[in-house]
Amino acid sequence: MSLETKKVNFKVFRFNAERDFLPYYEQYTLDVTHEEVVLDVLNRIKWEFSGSLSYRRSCRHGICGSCSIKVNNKAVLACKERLFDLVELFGDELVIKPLSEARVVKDLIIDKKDFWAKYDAVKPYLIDDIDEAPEVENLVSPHEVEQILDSEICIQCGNCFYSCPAIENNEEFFGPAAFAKAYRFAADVRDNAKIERLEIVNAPEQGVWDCMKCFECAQACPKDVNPIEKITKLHNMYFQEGIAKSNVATRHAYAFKRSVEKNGLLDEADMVLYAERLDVIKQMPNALSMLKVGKLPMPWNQPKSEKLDEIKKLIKSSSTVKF
Amino acid sequence: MSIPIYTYDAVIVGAGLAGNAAARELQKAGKKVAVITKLHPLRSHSGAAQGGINAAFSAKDSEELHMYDTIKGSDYLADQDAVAFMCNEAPKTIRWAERMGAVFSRTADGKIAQRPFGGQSEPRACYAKDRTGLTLLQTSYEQAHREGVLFFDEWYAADIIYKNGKISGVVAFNIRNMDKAIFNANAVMFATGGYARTYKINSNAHANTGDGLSIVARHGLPLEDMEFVQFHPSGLSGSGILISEAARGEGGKLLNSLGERFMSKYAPNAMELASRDVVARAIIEEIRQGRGVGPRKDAVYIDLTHLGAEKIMERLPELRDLAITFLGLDMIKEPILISATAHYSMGGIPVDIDGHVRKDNESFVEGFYAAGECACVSVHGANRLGANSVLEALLFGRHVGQSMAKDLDRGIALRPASLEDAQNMLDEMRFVLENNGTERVPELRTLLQESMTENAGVFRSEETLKKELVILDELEARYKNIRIEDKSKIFNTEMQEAIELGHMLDYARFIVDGALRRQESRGAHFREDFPARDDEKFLNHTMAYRDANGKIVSYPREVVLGRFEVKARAY
Amino acid sequence: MKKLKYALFTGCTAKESTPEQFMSTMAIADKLGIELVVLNEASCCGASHLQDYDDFLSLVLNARNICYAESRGLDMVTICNTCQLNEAMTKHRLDSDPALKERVNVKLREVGLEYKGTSKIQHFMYAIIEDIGLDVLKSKVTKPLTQFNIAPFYGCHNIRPTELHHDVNGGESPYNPTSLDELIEACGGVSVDYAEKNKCCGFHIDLQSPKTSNIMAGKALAGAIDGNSDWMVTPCPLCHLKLDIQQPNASKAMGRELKLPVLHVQQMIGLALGCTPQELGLKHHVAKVNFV
Repeated sequence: MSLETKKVNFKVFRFNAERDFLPYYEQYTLDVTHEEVVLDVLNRIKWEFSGSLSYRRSCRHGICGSCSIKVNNKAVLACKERLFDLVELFGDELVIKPLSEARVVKDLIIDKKDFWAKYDAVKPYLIDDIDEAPEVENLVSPHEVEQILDSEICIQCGNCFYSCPAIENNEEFFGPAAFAKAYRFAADVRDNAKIERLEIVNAPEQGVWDCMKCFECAQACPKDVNPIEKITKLHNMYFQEGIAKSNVATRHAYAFKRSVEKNGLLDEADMVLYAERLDVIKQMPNALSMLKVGKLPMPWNQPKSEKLDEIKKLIKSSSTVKF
Repeated sequence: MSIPIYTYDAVIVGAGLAGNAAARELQKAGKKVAVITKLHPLRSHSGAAQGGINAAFSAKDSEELHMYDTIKGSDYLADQDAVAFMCNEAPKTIRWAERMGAVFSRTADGKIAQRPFGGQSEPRACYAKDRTGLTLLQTSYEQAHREGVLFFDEWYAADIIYKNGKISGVVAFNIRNMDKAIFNANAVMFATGGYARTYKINSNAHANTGDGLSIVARHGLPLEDMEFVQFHPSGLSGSGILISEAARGEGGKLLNSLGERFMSKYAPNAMELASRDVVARAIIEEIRQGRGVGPRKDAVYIDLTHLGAEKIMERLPELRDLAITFLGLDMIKEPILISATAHYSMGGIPVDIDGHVRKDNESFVEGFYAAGECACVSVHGANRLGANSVLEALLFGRHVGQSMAKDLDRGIALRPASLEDAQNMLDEMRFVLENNGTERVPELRTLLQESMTENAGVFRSEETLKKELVILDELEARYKNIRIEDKSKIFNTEMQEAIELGHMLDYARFIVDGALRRQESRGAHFREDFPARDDEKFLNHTMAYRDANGKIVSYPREVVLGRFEVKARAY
Repeated sequence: MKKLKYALFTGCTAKESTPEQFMSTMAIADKLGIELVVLNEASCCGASHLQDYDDFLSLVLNARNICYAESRGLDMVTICNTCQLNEAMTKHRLDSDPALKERVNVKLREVGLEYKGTSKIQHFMYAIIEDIGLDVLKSKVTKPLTQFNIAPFYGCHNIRPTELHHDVNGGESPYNPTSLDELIEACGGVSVDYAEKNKCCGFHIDLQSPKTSNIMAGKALAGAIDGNSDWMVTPCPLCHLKLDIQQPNASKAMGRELKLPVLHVQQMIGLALGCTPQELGLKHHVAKVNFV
């Protein structure tokens, strides 16, 4: 057993808001070992070549969430990303950048105030009258703890948030980390503010219905929190709790059941009509252009699944919610 | 230049478990409180604690037994009144953390689950998988945040305002932009964490540079028991990153290059679950005798493969992940490489049970408090037991917060601050930014860390310690000749690292000096030239301060004994 | 060589708004000597929206879909990324949680079915790459697409999340996917590298957030156009619906004209194998396919 090494070219993003108008890159060629992670290289560059290179870091083993950056556009925790893995993925040319260029303050450090504001917005704490001198703990079964689905291990690193395309294009959106946090408490049997919290993350433009289901968050998370799974669970909670507000997104979700129950397959036109209601007028140009090229089956040609009875029977026996 | 002066009832430095818990109590008591931290609170190193937090509440366990284990583990240097207080309050404290939202693992009947840990008679470590510290840190911050505590995150506390036996605030700068501020306060609490970062192989975060200790020492105030640094038996080879004691608690076996389960030689009864200092020395001894393994032969194996994938995934998922990341080894399939790593600071700022900082053996500093790893109460004595550190931080953090609120109610005068109070900080910043020498900070720091590991590490002797004192003199002289490249005001982390090195150099001397004077072996402090414990001469705490000439002067403080008789310690 | 035979899960769009996708799938299967048994019993995969509404119901229905591949002793192929996601997600969850599998099977037994977990589930594109092989495909190309710069658009649900797909997509990394590029090259075209090729098209929020959705699609189209692409190719009919039909909306959102033919991956392969435009349904495109 010995230390393997590889030669890697690093291009490191540099910018100082105090001085620079535009960012620039510095290049370093270094031999790296199979034990080294990205943070080791940042430290070597700072300590051996350029003392002014700035980045956040603390725990160096993936638990404090400080050192999030992007390597070749992949959001990583610098202290948990093995260089050999990156070389295998991207080759020996690695570009090290801040999580978000738009929010950079200096080198790899960004201003995360939007991230923290959204963390705050979901009331990220257990809401309960706290017994300050309890003789016994709350009894919570292992099964009930499991329902939190490890969402409590989110370390607020921001990898998901700054990888989320909804955030990139809609600054109101709460983002995956805040949703995972909202879920962490909504799923905790000890919390007394489930409904209140669900209402916060139900807001149009900001809330869970604007998730575009790209799975970037699940991919970017260094702790396997799987935020989109929590977003789906939050969606489910609205229907389970019977508090889903009728809006285009909830009607759209329900319309799937409606359609499958009727045809097995989707009745696309009916579904859009049901979800959009009067707003369906917005969809007319699309519909017309589709009609022109034969993309909309006529109602009398609506395809149906074979053995539709079986599907209907299963929907009857297996449905767990009503809307 | 003008520096704003903010006024608070209480200012806390550090936002780990101790700082957050204290801040919440003060806020709830209606005090105006601010917390200064050089990280975001959720990035604090308390979050890295893996294995558990002790409380005696299982049927077969008792507070008494917890005390006994803690005192025995401490090699009888812990103050027994403080230990009794901690062990009695532990069950309530942990249940309180649970009530605030901590996500503990549970037993089948819904209670907080507990696991065995080294040096403990009963399974006593309450745990949240292998990320106990994370859920506790989050919970303490969340509830402090919920109460509306004001946090100054990414602010660097550079100095205290201390005159005539009284403290009146903290001087700090904003790491983001170098804005400076004076936090004038009736009461100040330090919760600044430990100092193991002064060693090359250590388990600590980059942030754990122990600044708080030397800030105190620079004012001529004493530090206590600084020679006691705990080396954890299981750091990952190379990086020193911690593999929790849970790995041994769950049944991990230590093996040398001959495949021998060598703990049978060192602790035939407790085996791998002997006290940390015993296991750490056994590992280093095996390596020194040429029975090390791994690419550098600087490690031994810990074998967990017999636990099976399911148990490892359920109880130790985080640890498995760490070994894969930093060694490329999967503990489900193969043994992993570990060695002793500098982990925990038993010594620190001397305080009484209520957190009052001692000025000397007779008196206290008015308005000054400390809790958590930076403090020496002392509940760990010469060696801390696993799962007692998060307990200390949370329990004493909260208790000291309450004690501050009480003292504030009784009345602590506010001595108004003035701009001159910022002078030390300004001088320090100017020196680091403007000094135009030839020495580089990273190089000096590496020399410090390597030499401390070499000369003041798991094994020490008069020879190595004297050598280290010479090295420290040299490094101190070279530090005066440093130069940094970064002159900017925004996130000048190079300046920060230089200031931190200054602190490390200052308190390293206390570690070495204390180790040199203590001509015995006790707990984590092992002198090869004095391998036995010497209760006659050294059953006392080391109090040390820096005199006006920068020389360290020390004097003993009596250990508070009590119901547990001082005995030989064997596992 | 044994004849390849799969159970084809068409999904809804191939039978409705993207008929060209079904046509081209059958056409290239024929050219490649693959037998496809269409699962006409199958119901909609839920497209992740039924999953939002009633997670358990969606598992039961999708498990039923898979049962029909299993009962024929065939592996399943999908021709839609989102179908692939939901069928693979169902398989993953049921295979890794025996208790959940049993809960689902209790329901399925009511209609005489049982989910076993014996069928592999793979997007047709990856089945071609794995089971036919790029070299063999290349050897069958009669009309190489040499004159075209082609922008690959991967679509989210074939590449993310990794753990769902890595066994069936050649271990493709979502950060650096290569399969579609390699398919383009095998068909004789030049694959265009652009930043949005592995990003989201915005389809799934088209109803609730058309603005964001159109920007997403607009960025993808703009990236491809600025990369000097002649056309775009995607394995996902939902991406196709967004990127083809909604070019006027995407143009408006981006404040520039975005016009680009978008083909299904089956159509691209079909062109290279010499299928006719009629066989490939090229007339069913809103952004006109004007180069053949």
